[in-house]
Amino acid sequence: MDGGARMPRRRWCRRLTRWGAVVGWGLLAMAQDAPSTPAAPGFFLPANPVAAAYVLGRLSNKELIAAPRGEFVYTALLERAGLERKYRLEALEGLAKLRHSTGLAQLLAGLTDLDKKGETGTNVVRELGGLLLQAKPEELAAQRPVLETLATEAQLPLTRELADAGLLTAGLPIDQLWQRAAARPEQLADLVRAIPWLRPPAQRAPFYPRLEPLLRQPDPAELRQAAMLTLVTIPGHDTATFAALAALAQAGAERATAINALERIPKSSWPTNNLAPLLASLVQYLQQLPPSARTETDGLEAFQCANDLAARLPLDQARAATRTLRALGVRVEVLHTVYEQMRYDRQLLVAEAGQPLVVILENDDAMPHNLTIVTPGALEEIGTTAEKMAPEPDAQGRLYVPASPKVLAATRMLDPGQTAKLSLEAPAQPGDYQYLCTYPGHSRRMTGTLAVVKDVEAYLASQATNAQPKLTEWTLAALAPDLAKVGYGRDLEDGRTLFTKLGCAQCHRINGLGNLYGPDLTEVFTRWNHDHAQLLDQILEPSKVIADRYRNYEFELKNGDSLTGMILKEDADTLTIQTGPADNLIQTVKKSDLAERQPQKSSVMPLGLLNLLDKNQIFDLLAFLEAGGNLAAHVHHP
Amino acid sequence: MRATNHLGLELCRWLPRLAAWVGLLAGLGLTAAAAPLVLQKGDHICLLGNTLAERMQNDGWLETLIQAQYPQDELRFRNLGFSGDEVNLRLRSENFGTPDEHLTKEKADVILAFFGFNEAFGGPAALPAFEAHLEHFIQDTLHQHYNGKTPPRLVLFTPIAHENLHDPNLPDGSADNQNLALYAAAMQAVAYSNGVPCVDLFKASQALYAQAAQPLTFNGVHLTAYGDQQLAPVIVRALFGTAPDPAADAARLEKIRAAVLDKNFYWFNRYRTVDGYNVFGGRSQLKYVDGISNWDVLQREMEVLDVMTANRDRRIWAVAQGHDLVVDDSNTPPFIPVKSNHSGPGPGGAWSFLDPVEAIGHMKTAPDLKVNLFASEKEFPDLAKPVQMAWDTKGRLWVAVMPSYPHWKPKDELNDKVLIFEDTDGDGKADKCTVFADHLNIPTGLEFYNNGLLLAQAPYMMYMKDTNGDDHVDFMERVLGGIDSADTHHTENSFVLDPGGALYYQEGVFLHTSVESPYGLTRNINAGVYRYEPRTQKFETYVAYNFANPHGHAFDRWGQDIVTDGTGAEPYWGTCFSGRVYFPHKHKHPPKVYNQRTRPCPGTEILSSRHFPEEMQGNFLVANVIGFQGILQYHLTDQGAGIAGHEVTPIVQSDDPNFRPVDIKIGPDGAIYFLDWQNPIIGHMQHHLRDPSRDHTHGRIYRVTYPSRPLLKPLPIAGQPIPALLNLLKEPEDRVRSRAKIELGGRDTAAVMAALGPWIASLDPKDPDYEHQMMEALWVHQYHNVVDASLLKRMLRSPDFHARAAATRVLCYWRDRVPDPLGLLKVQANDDHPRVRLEAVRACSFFTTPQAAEIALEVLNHPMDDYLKYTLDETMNTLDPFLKRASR
Repeated sequence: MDGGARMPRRRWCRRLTRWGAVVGWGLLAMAQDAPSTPAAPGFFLPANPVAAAYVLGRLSNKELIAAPRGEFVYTALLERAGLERKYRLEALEGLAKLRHSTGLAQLLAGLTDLDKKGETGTNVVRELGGLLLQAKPEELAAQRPVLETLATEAQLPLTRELADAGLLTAGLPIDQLWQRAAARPEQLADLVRAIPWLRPPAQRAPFYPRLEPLLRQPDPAELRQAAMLTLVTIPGHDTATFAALAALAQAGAERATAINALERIPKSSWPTNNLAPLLASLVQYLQQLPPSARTETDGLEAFQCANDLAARLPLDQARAATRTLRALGVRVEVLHTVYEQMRYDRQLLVAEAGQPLVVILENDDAMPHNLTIVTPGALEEIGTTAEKMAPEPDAQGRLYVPASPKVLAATRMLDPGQTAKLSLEAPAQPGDYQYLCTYPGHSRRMTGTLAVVKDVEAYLASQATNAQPKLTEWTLAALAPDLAKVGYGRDLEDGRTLFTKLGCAQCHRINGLGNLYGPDLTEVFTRWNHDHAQLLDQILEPSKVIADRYRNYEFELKNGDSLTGMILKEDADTLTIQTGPADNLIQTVKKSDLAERQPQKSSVMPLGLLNLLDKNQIFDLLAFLEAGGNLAAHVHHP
Repeated sequence: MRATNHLGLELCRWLPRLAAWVGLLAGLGLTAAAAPLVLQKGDHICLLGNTLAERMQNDGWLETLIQAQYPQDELRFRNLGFSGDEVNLRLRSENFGTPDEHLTKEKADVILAFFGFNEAFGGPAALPAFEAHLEHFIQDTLHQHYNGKTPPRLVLFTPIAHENLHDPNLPDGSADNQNLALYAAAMQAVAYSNGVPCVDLFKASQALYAQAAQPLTFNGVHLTAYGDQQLAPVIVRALFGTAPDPAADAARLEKIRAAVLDKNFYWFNRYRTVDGYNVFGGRSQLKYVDGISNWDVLQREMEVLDVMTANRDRRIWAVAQGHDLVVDDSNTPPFIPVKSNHSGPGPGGAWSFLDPVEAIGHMKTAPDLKVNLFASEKEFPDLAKPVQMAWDTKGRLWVAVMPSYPHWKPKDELNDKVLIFEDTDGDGKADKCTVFADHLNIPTGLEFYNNGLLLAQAPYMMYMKDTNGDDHVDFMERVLGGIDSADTHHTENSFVLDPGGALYYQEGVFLHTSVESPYGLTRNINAGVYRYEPRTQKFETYVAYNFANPHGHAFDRWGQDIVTDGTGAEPYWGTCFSGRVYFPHKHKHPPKVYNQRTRPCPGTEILSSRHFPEEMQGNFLVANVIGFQGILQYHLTDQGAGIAGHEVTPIVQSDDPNFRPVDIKIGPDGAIYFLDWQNPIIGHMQHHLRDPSRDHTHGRIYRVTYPSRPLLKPLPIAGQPIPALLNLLKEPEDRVRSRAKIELGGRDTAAVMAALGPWIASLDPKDPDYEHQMMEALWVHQYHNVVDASLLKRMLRSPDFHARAAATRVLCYWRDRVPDPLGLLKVQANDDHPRVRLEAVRACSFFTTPQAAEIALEVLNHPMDDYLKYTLDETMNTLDPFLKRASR
């Protein structure tokens, strides 16, 4: 391989590396430096690619992960459903190297391949789509012919919309794309559905004037539905979009899609008045639905929307509406995962004590998630227990659900795009129960509270004023100009609260507060040369600098198991490894049992920790760090 | 041990024997770690172990000699031997009872244990486990008190050696003997260290083989009657130092032996009762009228048999002591009466039966067909409950009848039969019926082999032959054992020959089968189809699949077969799910040939007869006995790799509620013959086994013709010269060619092979059937177990895909004797036709190397269909362990 071919791949990998930090992968970067493992002697794999794919298709995910790497295994790792993202990245890197190509080209080849498999490939297409749109515009532009072929010829609508999203990201003129797509309504629908893939959301803004008129075009239905679901992803128009969708829902035109779309508008953007007519129309709709249809997806979403509307009404009105709703069916909460953010769209679910509850989880993200409901205070224990579990399904076919009385209910692990319905009886004892995704690494961020209360309406009324969190993808560039503000007028108490609330304290200790899994932060400001920008940069991009002591390793054991963790201690015969932020996650492994250890280039610290904060909160946190966690002693310079 | 505990009492008996015994020690290899076997008056002696033990009750020599030697001891022998038993695994159907339970029931004082034969196939690798299991068995046995008082006295017996019969069709035993010697030595060592005696039958049998005037075994590993007679004195001398002199004592011994065999009949029918699943297993608990269950009634019958067996012990002692007694069975407990849950409209709940000819008026046939009566119980009272039939090479119809079905009742005469019907004047009606064999017990299937008959009689398959021309059996051998009999409704049935002469039979759910052969043990549980090469004694599971109850197996002109699961009448294409799987694995659910509309099916046949018009040729005939009572007809077509079918007008349907067509065969005149079981009750489990409405006397055989077309002239087959027989292989009728090969199969192999070359040379390559004729030539080789690799290679590349597929099947069964079988399969796996590819994939499952998997996977380079996908998955499942082994 010549150096020229190497450069673009390195850039590609670096982009991916940023991703890897979220999910804890790091093999990709290593693969650049060390040649991929040659096929183990005797590993049965025919030379014929079709036969090889068949043979690999017979392996379980665990066996496939353990298979010695080669072109066919990489292809399988790229295309097999239910694998962690790190294996996709490793596969792309491996394929790029073997085929003297780029990761992006291999990604597109994989998408093309998966598209040919039809519906069965959908989940992985969605997953790879997320990776595709991480590529730089100029890299995507270089792949324009492949993207255009996919956009027009792929059999899965999802593949076509991803290809469109790729072309949009590549910076192709919007007019040109729109005009070309407008020739065929289904192609235009693809393009409309591609828009929500664009990031950051501001990129979607130019489409508003084209989408909004589509709401008034009943034909073709597919196009209008696509426009409804896309409009809600365009920032800055929530009020108008809400009104337009509400009108459609009230008119009974595309009611299901309208309700679905309405529910995707942040509750903070919902109007506070004039909701009663929409609520009345939904109640009327639900009343005429046969009981069996009320627990189907459309009915459940209508329930959810009606409940959400009722929660915004004055308490007396809300009571009347929810009483009617409750008479119609069980309490339903619909929960979505948020694409690429490793969180649920809602951090609060409400249930009436002792009453039946249905939670619908729709996995809109590109990686697997579940919903596990646990007893108050059990979140961390269940999350860390799940991380140690082997990826083998339990008796109910669920992955990573600990067998514990503290688990009240759990869905199966949902692949991207899947939906699950969890029916349970809410506990008789009111309290703040918790929910989380138990996929390893997710429980630190993907959590929420299930408030079990005696009076749901009263509780909701008390909560109605609480705005939904606002998300900002902070960059150093966006914050740097104001960093001087860290220096004065900061609320260190707020900083300390944030240190705990964001989960920093789960892994870091400062002035005696928190756990010692990551570095102690008491002296952190000194370590970063008293430079707020350097400290902030490290929070925003945790993998930039990793001290050896805190480097994560992937260990492969000779018995086929694998572990990921930091090395606490190493002597001649043993390694002491910590796999997570708790003392019970420390284990000693005999070196003689180890097959391999791979240092990872990404930090275990998640990305996007600051996304829920505003600037002031970030600066409060920085000030708290600067003060070494000492509220009293620190006297800030003016 | 007991001898030392009671030394004072025993010494006087023991000492005189000791001297003689010590003298024999070296010669017989008896391990001298413990006291020799000393019998006490009234001892209960139980035999345990594999087929060697089980077969000892058939000829009775061991018991005869011991009873003769110790007439005053009044010994009670109970043979608990069971084919396929290993010391650590003894397969039984549900609730048969554990060996401990049976030993306790029989109050065993002495145990003679014969193990090691089946285990030895495991070779040196499995030896340590065997030693451990044996030691555990010894220690466990010595800590039991089966007689309620003392631990049993245990004697171990090594397996006998594999006898070289110098038959090219059988293994010479040399490889087997290496393992057997190893295991025999290990048994002696383990016995010695655990202080129990062990008789080395391996060396003893080798000595006998060397000096015997005739073979002692029929297959190299299982004793004939003669072998049993020769080995028995060796065992008796090893145990006691002396044995009766058979020559000097012949008349007395024969009289004792007759008494022993009479006792053994009752014992065997008690311990190994047929229909056990209904006597003691799951369905024994079914309750019928007045809450009376099968268990209630059948367990009483078992008690009756226990008493009758014990009555016959006393006769043995009387005869051995020099007098005799008339057995009086009046001491048995009373039978429990059963009321019908399906009474007929007649007086006392009797059912009425249509007259056999009158019944034809109740039948509706397809247009242009006509039914006439061939035979019935009216003219031939022996024709009661016919179950399967077969046409012989003389144009006579052999029929197995089982009036004892579902289960012989003690004290009734057990007299199921095989009958031969003849239509001597050619009027389409039988006018002669000969009893070929009688006093049988549930003969559920029959086919011809080597101038004789293979007959199902679970737990055995019998080979029967008339050697003196009186059409009555006078030679009989149990060629297979260990075939489970736990449900007579679906044990060992639907015998059929493939075009290469292998015999297949089917068996249903609940059954736990373990069959010993000179090649090793075959186990299978809960249904399957089996394949048996009578010439080579090879036995294997053909289809290991969780059928309900398969009934019906038919091969077409090119050797493709349809296996029908009778319960649901579900038709499966045999090729796709007959690749190898290893016990206890089973095949997964295969695709079906067509969607059937009725159930259940007891038998099938392919219509191959020019008596019927062209459009009916090759149609699949399916008997059906509930709801639709008649014979359905399906048109078969090639579809991708496999076969598809669609229904056409049924052959016949009757509104007689007793009409139950159970077997169909095309006759030598080209007509369709079928058996009518003729019974108001067809269900096995739906009614009590002793439901009085079960009929035991009726049975009919009907013939279906196409009167506007001439019947075929039956072709002479029996006694014809070999070249004439070979010419019959050009005949279009499948059954004619099949009978010609049956006849050829009974001829001298060298003579057949000598004639085959000129016959092949005489064939006309321009004949449209040339490739089929060439395939028949290959099948005749297979019939005679003569490998012709060059002819095989020619057929593997035949221009006709049917022949290439059929040859691939032959290659599968010749894989151990053809050079580079995988290389040949690789070509087949890449054949233009999917069926040939599928046969190759199937054949790959019989190998144990990664290379076989690679070849099977080559089919992925070609278009796949559901059958290919299914069979490739199945083959890969079987090969997976070998791949995984290779990858470590």
